[in-house]
Amino acid sequence: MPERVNIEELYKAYSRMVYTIAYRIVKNKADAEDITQDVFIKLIQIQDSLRRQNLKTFIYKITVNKSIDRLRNKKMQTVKNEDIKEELPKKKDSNENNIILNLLMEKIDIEQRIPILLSEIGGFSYKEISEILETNIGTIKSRINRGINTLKQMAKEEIDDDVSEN
Amino acid sequence: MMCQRIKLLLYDYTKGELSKIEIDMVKSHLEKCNACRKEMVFLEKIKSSIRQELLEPSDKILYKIKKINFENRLINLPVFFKPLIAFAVLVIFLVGFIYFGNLIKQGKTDKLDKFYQDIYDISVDFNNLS
Repeated sequence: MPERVNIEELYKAYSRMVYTIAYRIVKNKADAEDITQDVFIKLIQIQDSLRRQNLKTFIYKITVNKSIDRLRNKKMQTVKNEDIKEELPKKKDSNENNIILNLLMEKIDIEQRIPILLSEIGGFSYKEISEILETNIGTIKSRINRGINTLKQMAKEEIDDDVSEN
Repeated sequence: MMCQRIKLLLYDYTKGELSKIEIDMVKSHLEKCNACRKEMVFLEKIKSSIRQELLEPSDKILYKIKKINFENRLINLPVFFKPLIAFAVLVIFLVGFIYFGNLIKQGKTDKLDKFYQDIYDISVDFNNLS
């Protein structure tokens, strides 16, 4: 008989990553918390059919789908880039550079941002990301590379030259 | 020309998503090219800034998840377990009822005993007076 998955164990292992991904997609703490809760409620509902293999991929798939649904419902895609620009701190020490990079990340198109988040925060390979997003590997690869290049470009404009050289 | 090509491969290189030949090519180019090395350092910086901070959801979510999980486990108990649990609850209730009933009864008896004792003491005092 297959081992039953312990939800509290799963919560300890994945809640931070689920919450972070959701937050970086919907850009709102309350919504990200709702999504995190919904993801784990969904896991409770299907607990008996959960298998340990591919569990991580599955959890992220639910997270991304729920985040995109939430975005669609709230029509948050129109979050204004100008607002993000205004939030950029004036001084640029290394910590603030990280803040700037994170804010710039939010300016990246959602189609590119999601695979980048899955790649960096989730640590998934292109193949796993293509399974989560149900898109072919080539598209995922090009979206990530385009996103990263845009981010690099914006970062070079925003951040002092010394950062790129250190 | 070569630098342009290498720059396009850098992210895949950090992900380990290149072929053996491409990995060797990037590696040997990075050893020679200062500009591409800088580009690589910058890319690593960007990657680590994306990864750096995992956010913590509030504790109330864990509390809610635990509650829902517990309720779900109760609902999904095997059929033969439900009468057993009902029986156990009934037994606990009865034992509690008998135990506390006795305590109350005992308390009343103690009070009554004290009342009789007081009357006895008073009557003894009266006898001493006379």
